[in-house]
Amino acid sequence: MIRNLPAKWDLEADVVSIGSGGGGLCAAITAHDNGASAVVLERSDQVGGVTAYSMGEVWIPGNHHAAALGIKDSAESGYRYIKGLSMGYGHDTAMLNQAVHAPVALKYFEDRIGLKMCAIRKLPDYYYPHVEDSLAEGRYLEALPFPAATLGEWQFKTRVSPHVPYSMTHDEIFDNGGLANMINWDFSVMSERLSKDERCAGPGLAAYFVKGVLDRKIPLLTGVNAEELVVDGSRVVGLRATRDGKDFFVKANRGVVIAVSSYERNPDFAKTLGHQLNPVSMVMPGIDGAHLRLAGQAGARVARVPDVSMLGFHVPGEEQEEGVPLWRGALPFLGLPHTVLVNRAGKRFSNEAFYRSVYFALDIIDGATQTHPNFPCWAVFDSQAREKYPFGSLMPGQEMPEELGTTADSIEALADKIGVDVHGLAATVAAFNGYCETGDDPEFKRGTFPWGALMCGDPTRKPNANLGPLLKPPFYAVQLHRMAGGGICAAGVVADHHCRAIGWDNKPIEGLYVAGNSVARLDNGALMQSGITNARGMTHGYLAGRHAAGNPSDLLQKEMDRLGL
Amino acid sequence: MIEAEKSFVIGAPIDSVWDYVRDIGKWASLLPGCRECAIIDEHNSRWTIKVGAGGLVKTVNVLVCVEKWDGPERVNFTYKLESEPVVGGGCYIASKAGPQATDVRLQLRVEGSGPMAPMWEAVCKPLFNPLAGAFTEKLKTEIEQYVGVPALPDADNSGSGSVMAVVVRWLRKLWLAVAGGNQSQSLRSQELLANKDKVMSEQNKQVVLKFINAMGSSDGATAATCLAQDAFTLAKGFGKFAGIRRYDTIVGTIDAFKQLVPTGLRPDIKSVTAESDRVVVEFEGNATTCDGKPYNNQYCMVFTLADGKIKQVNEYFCTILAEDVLWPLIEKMADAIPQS
Repeated sequence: MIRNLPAKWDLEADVVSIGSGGGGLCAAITAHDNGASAVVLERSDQVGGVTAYSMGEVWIPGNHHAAALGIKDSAESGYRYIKGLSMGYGHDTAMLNQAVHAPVALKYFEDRIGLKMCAIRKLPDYYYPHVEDSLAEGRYLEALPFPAATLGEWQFKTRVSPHVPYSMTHDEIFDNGGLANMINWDFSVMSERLSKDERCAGPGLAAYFVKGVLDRKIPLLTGVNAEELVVDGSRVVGLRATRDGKDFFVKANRGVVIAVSSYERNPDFAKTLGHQLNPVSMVMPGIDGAHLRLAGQAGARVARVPDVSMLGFHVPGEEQEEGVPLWRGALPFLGLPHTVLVNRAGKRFSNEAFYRSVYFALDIIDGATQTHPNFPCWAVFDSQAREKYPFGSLMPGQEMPEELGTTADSIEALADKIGVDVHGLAATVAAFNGYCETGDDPEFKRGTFPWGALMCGDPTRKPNANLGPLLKPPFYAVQLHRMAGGGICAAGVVADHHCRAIGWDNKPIEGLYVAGNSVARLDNGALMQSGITNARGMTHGYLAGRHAAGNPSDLLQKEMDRLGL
Repeated sequence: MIEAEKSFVIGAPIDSVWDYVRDIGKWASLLPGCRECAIIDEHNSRWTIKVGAGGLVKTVNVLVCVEKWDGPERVNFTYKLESEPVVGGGCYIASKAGPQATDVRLQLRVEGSGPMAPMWEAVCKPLFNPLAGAFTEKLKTEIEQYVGVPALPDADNSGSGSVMAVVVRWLRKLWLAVAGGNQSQSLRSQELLANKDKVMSEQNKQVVLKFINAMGSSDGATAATCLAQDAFTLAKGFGKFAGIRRYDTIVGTIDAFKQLVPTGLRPDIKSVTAESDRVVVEFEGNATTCDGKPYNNQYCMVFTLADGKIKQVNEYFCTILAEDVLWPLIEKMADAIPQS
């Protein structure tokens, strides 16, 4: 191990979190409440991380909110659901560890920091009802609206999301026709929440954790960029950061927690670790693999699970911050009625209403030709879709900007304009329109996933929320870009059940912890299910904070004993 | 519909206030986030505004139509977002509150249209009042600063046969001869609070030094590249040289200066201090006039920059020396140029 101690330290705490998303904040709060001092370092000028960018869903099987509603569920059932869908790419102990600790961590933060959560009604697991141990509702939770004014001077330094309607709760959205039917939403609620700055979704969730840190007077430092770990020859004892262009040495008596999301803003890492070629990204420019660089220095092991590319597009005139174009995820719009996703041959290649299906198909390589047959690809829709549904921030009825999409009076003319096989697209649309009449998509089973009907479809449309013909000109095509996972990624640092980083010798690296998306996804393997990521961040923070403060959890061992594993 | 009304008193006579507000480009420059204002004609302009809201920065193009320029008491205007179904309007109402005070009322409204109108209004509502507030606050401050010293009369409307008018006419004529009267009608402006970092200060410093050197060698063309289109210099003091000079006059003066001072000013820079959007330079001249007299004035100039261009220069120099040495030369030259 290296030895690179500085002559003097600029700041000292028992536990030092790098990153101010859910993972870093939860680790600091838990460490503090277990008797350790803590500090949170953030590279950018805003706190909340990718957690604040998210829909704020927290997916926890066996949570007490579902129980209070009389929904029958258990952590063990959740474990079986994940294990089955992980396809063997995960580690059983990692999956069980997450399953047993997530409900406990949830309760812990509710009790300690005033986090207020509720079950999202009617939102099913991704694979419901197709696999055992899936539920129609009860595992998805979200935060109640958070009054951001209570953050004081941190109100405007706590991140909000350009991607989600964070002034509405899921229930409010679903009660008025879901994401597709924005046209029916109650905007008086949105107006009031925006005026009062009451935040829902990811911005709300992140704000609760920021408040927890502020209430504890845990120092929260922005503009501090972690450059390298400081190691004393046997354990990690701190880090060298830079602040205002100068070195800033932070001593960590008990541990450093790296919780800096993924590497997707680093194109080389995205290609070589994620197998994603030139992906665009919806997260902040700073999400560039700092965890790999830092933990790699201490010999941390990296692991990868099967993961997918998403799809995105850019609406002209939108920037994430000055000079950084904003990319929006295409997920919610591909499975809408009157919309199909096609490749160069003009053919559909997936169940557009279930993004796991879309994205794995997207990355397929045709070995005969060494090409990606399904990329590039285009969302194709008609003016019925345009009249009724949003497409990103393009609102129903708003004109299609030339920079975003191509417009034509017939499907054939559209195919010709975008360079897609004309006969192929015409045949695809004709067949699809036929499926819309029967309400059954025999090719890709569109509309058979209740989650996709609600999140990627028009739930008011009968008999199939995800089917509607493309009939009414003009027709539109939007070419989609390969997009990284919004912080969710294939590779990460391997951690044990206390979230200690593990070396290539499979031994924990003393003094080094990882949390959230920085952790290799061995706790879910080939599966991803929205809401897992926020649950992981909270749970990892809880576990790392406890262990670093000298009060490690023994729940996993107890559960393994109980299950006879 | 969302409405806002702001009332405030500007410490300036109503005619001076009008002199400022009748230029739509000035309105645009006061709006936080306004990056560009292209004047289409007397009534119409297209503003490009960057609005930070909801976790993103959105560029919107706004078509502004002044329906009635009814000065100095009233301006009625409407506006329309180019790509979003949002429209609005408002009016500016001014009344005399005293010889040095003007009551101003700004009424503004915004309205969503189409099927998503309630959403557009919900989104606009929290932005609208702070934006209107920031705008009015800047309007008041800028006008008070603008009229804070006696303004140099414009050649076009001075009407008087004052010496200042003669000088301005002379300079303008020279400038037109040099530059052919070409001037873009588009102006750039930017949020005052932006670009406060050190890199920007350093860049600003370089722009200012380039400007002073160009001024010192009577190179109007180079000096012009350093100036924003709406730049003005404000010579402080109470003598004949005090007052405001705008872009074309500034450039014209620099070009014309070599006739007065063939050596150039030959500035010897004593200190340069740059901080956020400001650069302050102390320097001394070492020049000889066309009639062989030394002209070694001392200067302190406070430059305000935005977007890499000089917006304003507050000039402090010995106006007594300037009047003694330069004024007789200017009078002689102005007399020699036939009136057009």
